[in-house]
Amino acid sequence: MNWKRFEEEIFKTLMITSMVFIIGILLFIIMTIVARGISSLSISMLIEPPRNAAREGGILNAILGSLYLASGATLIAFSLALPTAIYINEYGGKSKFANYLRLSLDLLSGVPSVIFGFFGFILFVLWMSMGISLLAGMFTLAILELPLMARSIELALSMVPNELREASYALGATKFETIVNVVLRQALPGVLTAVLISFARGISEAAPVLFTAQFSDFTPYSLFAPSASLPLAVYFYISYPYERARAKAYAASFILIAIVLAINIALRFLSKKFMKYVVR
Amino acid sequence: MGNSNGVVIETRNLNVYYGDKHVLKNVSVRIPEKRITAIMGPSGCGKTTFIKCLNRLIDLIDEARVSGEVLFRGVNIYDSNVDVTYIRRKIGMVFQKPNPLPMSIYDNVAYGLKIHGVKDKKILDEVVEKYLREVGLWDEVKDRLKEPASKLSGGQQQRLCIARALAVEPEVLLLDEPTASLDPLSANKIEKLLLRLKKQYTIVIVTHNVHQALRLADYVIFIYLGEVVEQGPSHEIFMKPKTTITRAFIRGDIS
Repeated sequence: MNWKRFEEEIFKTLMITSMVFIIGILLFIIMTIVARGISSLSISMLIEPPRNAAREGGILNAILGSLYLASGATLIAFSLALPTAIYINEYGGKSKFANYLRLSLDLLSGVPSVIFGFFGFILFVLWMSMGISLLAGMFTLAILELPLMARSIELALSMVPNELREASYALGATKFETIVNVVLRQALPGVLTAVLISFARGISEAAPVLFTAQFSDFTPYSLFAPSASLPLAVYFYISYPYERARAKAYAASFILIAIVLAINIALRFLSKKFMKYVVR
Repeated sequence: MGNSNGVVIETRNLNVYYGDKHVLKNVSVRIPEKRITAIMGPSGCGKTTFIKCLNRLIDLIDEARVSGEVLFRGVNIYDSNVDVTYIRRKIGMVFQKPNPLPMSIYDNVAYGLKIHGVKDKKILDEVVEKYLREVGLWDEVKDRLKEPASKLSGGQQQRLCIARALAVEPEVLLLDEPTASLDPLSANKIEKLLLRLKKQYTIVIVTHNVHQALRLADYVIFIYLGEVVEQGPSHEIFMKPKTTITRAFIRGDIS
């Protein structure tokens, strides 16, 4: 038995083991959540807010709360991330300032989410006197999503071939016209991906909303009132002494995972649709 | 030549530096109206840099520094009060690699007009048809104008790029080795098209292919190592080259 062949075999075994391990973990998580989640799912779970201190009713408060929180946050983050990414890639280029911006975004995306929660509590809840509210939760989640989204959009822009910019300039287009009509159009699938993965990130975070939107048994009715969310529904209901409340925790995790998976699957289809006009 | 009325573009002591590298040296040439002028020379001699100076596309290269004058109809296009977008509209450009925009065939041709403020659908329709016919693409694409331009073949894409450039009604058409990435048949179509177009447009074509220059050019500018070695009517350059370096290039000894 020669050593080289042995080496080859070891690495092959190692690779297969890690693959099985990864897929195994994924399947185990999904199966646990599905098994417990589906049995807890019912129409009333989906369309009713909790009643009688969570002994009855469903988790409509958390479903709507999470959708509002993540949508609002993604909208706010996008309105900052897009100009940032355009500046870094189209105007800043290799300049020092653009590099500092990139570095800041990378450092921001490494900050633990509980710190964002704490920061959001001080900045939005206290200083800007939004109080514990849906709005404060949106802004806090937006700050969490911002670095990821800006860097992903920048990556999408950086993959637009320079020949396309040249083609547009050569027709007498200005830089702005070129960015809006050509660069963003070519980068659209990438931008869409950036927005959706940021949404998925935002909807699954518990810590940032814990301090800012807190929790509520009511379905969200005002931007200035506290709001429930799916991750916190899991966190709170799992430790309740009532069967129905624990079922809510399982249902909430199931819905959360379903949303994130649905986004990932939608991405494959959507980006194919938006790829139509993209030049390769 | 000689008759200055017939000169559309003239460069005077044009120099270009990339950082410390001096890539174009004192280039002074005249481009005659409604003729095909071939910029000829071996790879890396500065042909592309030169042609990009003529519509100020060189501005996009951060480290490039330009000195000297490029006169278009007697006006130095590097003057600070010149509108670059106007210059690029009057002096169109086609690139070595076909670069259709990420939009439909129709929108590719209409793009230039749209950014210059034409919104009337009827005018756009007319212009798109006119220039797609001009480049001989209309019959091939008239039933699928809404399809992505990237679905066309390389040769079709290149003709689309020419139609796109013509649609904004330039006087001059710059082409940077437009057939270098195409198959011989497509290349032939483009060459025939250019011979037709020279009745209405002043054409400047960069090529390192001697035979192409011989087939197309009325006037030849030979650049070697960033300097103009020879310029003149093509029959003079090809029949009686004045320098040994030009003779060697025409024979194919350097490329």
